[in-house]
Amino acid sequence: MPANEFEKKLQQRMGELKLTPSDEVWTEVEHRIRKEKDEKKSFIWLSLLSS
Amino acid sequence: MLGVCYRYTKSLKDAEDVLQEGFVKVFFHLKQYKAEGELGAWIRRIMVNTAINFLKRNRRYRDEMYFTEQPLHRVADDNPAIVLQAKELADLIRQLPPGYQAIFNLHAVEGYSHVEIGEMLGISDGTSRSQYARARSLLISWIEELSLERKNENYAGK
Repeated sequence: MPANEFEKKLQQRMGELKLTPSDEVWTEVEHRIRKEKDEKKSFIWLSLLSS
Repeated sequence: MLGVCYRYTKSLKDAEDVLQEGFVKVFFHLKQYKAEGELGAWIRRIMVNTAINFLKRNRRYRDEMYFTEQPLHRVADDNPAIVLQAKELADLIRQLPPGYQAIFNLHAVEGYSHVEIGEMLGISDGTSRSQYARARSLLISWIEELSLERKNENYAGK
């Protein structure tokens, strides 16, 4: 853990860095979660069917 | 969390890509989160790991991440006053070459040790240490330069 004064100040300043993501980010996250969930479901179905 | 991703990448688009990927991971791994630590810190760790994987996977970053063994430079004890705003400071960190940028963020901001960074990036802790020293002195010179510019602008404006 850097204990230097410079690193401390830097950490503090970087904690203040607040950026707002665009709306597309949330749409895409939602889309990807849904897609991955569907894939998992179909994988379970496929493995059940083939067993 | 976009701020974290922003510090590790070279464009807002890349930062948002990392953020998206990170959030999907958070969603699917939330069960693994143990209510011991702070949730924010847990999410942040996922974001940092996602960012590092992104850099390793992405040619634009990977090709420029030369982790060559260099003689160890003693870390200078300079502690310049930071008069810059968070965004200005983050933009200076983002101007470092990708390898320096990653190591600088991991050590100075996230607080990982050089041994941990070595494991994360597949380099020796000595390499991490010497690259950190170079990144740090480069950044300090930029901070001083920009701070001086700001000061002169202020005088000129009066």
